[in-house]
Amino acid sequence: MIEVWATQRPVRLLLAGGVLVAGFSLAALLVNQRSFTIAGAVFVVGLAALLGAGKLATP
Amino acid sequence: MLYIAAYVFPAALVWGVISIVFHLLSSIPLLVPLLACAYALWFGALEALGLPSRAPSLAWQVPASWITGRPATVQALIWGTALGPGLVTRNPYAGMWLLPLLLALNSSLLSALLAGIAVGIAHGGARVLGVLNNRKHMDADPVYVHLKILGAQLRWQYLDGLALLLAGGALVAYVVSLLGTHF
Repeated sequence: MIEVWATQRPVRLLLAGGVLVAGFSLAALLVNQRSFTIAGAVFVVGLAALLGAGKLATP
Repeated sequence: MLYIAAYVFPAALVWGVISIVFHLLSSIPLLVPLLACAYALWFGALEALGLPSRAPSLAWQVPASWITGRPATVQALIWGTALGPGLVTRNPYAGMWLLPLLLALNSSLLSALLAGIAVGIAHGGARVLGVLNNRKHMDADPVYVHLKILGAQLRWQYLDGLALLLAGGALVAYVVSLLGTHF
């Protein structure tokens, strides 16, 4: 149900825009702090895990 | 356990080396942040909006001759070395090639290396869990499995696109802050 809703074009646009703004705002807040490096490292490792897990779909 | 080790160790090693190589690029001011920003925004938008796109990918496959007739342990090692790092075989997600660029943003070589090893462990670990999970569906109807795979891939691409846009937004802020420092 939520999957159908989330893949509608207006919802996709809204989510994409929201995520973009969230990334910008978060980085703007943290950019001059040490936590920016830590947040960056956590993001990179998380993305790597997401990509590895996503490939379970392609045996 | 052997299966997990066969995927995780080569991935950690390969991504450790990649982080060192890409760290060399960080000596060129603004190059990596600008490249990473443009890449994340372009592919993030394509994947998140469901627009037709093809992620940069190599199409190499493990040759059957490398596998046939080998003991199970050697087969696991070959599969693990080829699939664990996630770079040489087919890759449907654009986020994969953002990882080396993000690793290159680390200010020190040691932190880049540690992050690279962690990326390898995370990717190889998640990949092997997927492979082990796939084994459960070996007996299912091939058409059903194919459709399931296609559906799952579209969902993961959407997620990957959103992750890329999150990174893209953050990279815009980072580039703006760097421009403020340089000019």
